[in-house]
Amino acid sequence: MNLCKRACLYSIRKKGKTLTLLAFLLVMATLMLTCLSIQSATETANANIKKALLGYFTINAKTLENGIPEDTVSQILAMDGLSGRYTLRSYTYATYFDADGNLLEINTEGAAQVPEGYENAGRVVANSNSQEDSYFTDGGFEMVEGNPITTETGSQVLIHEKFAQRNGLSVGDTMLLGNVEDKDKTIPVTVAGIFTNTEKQDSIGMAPSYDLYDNIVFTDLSTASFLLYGTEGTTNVQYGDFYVNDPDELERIMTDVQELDGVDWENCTLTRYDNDYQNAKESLEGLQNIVFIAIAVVSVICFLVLALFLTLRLRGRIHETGVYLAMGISKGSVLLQYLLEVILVAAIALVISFGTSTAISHQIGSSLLSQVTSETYETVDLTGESETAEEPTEDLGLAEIEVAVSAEDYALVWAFGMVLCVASTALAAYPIMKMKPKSILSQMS
Amino acid sequence: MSIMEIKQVGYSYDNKKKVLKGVNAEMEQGKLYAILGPSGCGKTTLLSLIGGLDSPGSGQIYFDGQDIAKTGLSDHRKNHVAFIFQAYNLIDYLTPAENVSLTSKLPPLPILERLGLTKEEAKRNVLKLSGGQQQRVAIARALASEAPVILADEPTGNLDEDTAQDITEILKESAHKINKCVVVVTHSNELAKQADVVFRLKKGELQVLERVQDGAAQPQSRRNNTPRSERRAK
Repeated sequence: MNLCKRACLYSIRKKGKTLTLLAFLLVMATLMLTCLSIQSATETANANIKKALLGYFTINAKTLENGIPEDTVSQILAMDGLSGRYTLRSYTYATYFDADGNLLEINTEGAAQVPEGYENAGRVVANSNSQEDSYFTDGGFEMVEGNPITTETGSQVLIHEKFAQRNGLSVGDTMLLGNVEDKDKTIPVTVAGIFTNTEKQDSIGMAPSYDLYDNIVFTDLSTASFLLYGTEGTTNVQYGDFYVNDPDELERIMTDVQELDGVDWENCTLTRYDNDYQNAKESLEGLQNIVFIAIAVVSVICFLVLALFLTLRLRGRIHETGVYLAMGISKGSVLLQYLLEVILVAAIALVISFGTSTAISHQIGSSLLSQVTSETYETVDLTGESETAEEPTEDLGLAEIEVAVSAEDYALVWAFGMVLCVASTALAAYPIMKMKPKSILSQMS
Repeated sequence: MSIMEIKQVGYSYDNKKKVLKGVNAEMEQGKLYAILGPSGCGKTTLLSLIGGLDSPGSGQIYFDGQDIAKTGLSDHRKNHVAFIFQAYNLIDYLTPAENVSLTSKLPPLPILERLGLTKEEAKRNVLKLSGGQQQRVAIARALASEAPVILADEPTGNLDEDTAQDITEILKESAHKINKCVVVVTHSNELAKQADVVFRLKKGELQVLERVQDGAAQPQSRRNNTPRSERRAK
């Protein structure tokens, strides 16, 4: 009778022992698989957060007199690790004229004051793409008519719909933006679009007239550069936001930026913006650490308990071992039989554990992950307190994360389970196997 | 010609108490040998050494002219000897038939039937058999292994007188009819009386008490000559 048949017959006929081992291995495999599933889910969550909460750095000109030259911006954009997404911004003020040079009327209702010289002026916001400006992304501004402004569009502006109504302007009309201090320094621009604000301005009653929403004008960087620095042909900017692919790489990239040749760092500063990501990451890392510790503890406990369980089981089989050895069956064959018995049961336990861990990890894992996710949203201030109607979970891409048993995790548990069985059986059988057959037979009697 | 030869075998427990002192013996196929002696004199130890369960402290044990220490004890146990124990030592999760098939490719049922077990009993849980039946299964396992030497340690020690007599008969038949070399360690004078050669182990030395000459007529069973299977059927 070969060892496989002996192992099968033992497993079938010693039902109580087999079922006990099965239950034990099933619990172990389920625990292990559940922990791994949660860990995988947190890794996915971390990756999603990385994508959602992009890290970026800002370079800004220290003084209004000198902007950041176009060359510096080009050098930064050529660096490795940047996502390709960037925003260049400049802020200034301009007096508004119609095409004929007549002053245009601004809104002063609700203004804290109308500063002298700014009676017909407003804030000019310039960036590389008006749609990516924070007024549009976070401030509730939206386009009513026309198109956004980009670096390619040339000398154009977006005006508020109330400003347009007040001055009879529409898309395609021309107006002039003039330097507040030097009214002769004007630049003609075309109205490319009209926007409105969907949220009421918080600073009504506190803001000066030029900062009221109605009086804001969006334009391109070149136009702002002309108003700020009087430059023509080149575009200097006040601020540049540069997004990176991996927020964890931000530190390195910023170091590389600081080593760029030809940048006048006396006039520029670099600022890091990845607090949201770091905070969110910290929350997830907490869960990851807990799961990692759980995996380590479960592994060690599984090994020790299984070894103890098998030691007790094999101690009860010294008699059988002695008989096999007396019959000339080799120690290796006896050990393999015992190992095969455990592996047979482990294989069944691992198959069943797929179902049990799927159910358990879905329940426990989702609960744990949602708890951490809500902590993450609180950390990055995207909770329901936000006035946006969007579900916060959609912002970070965590809503679609499902705690499920992956093929990789399943394969890992199979491999680990088999190694555990071999190690535990070897450890449990070692004291018996190192004995001489006569010693075993003496113990039998 | 002797199949087992023991030459100057010595053995001591933990290198202190010497239980065997230069033991010499020769054993042939077709004979039943009995080893007698007081408890603790080293009978079972000698049997273990002959069976390759342990190695002697000094001296050699030869099987068919070859030193078993050189050919390998495991190989010796597997191919040359079969054990029968006082406690039967059957594998409890195997049926009698499966126990017999453990190291044998021979069909187990004919052997078990020859030793008096029915087909139903051969498929039953071994622990549900009587002591005598379990010892028969143990003997069947030894016979099925086709080992030329059968080593029995107190095979009738746990059995009643009638069953013990049956087992003695079987062992005797195994020697005389199946041409096995059967070595029995026993306290039973009844069993010793049936042996062809009786050894006495005393103070570490082995003495031959009696030797039945080759070819001599074997004594008949004191009970009857009816085959066991028929007797059980009655």
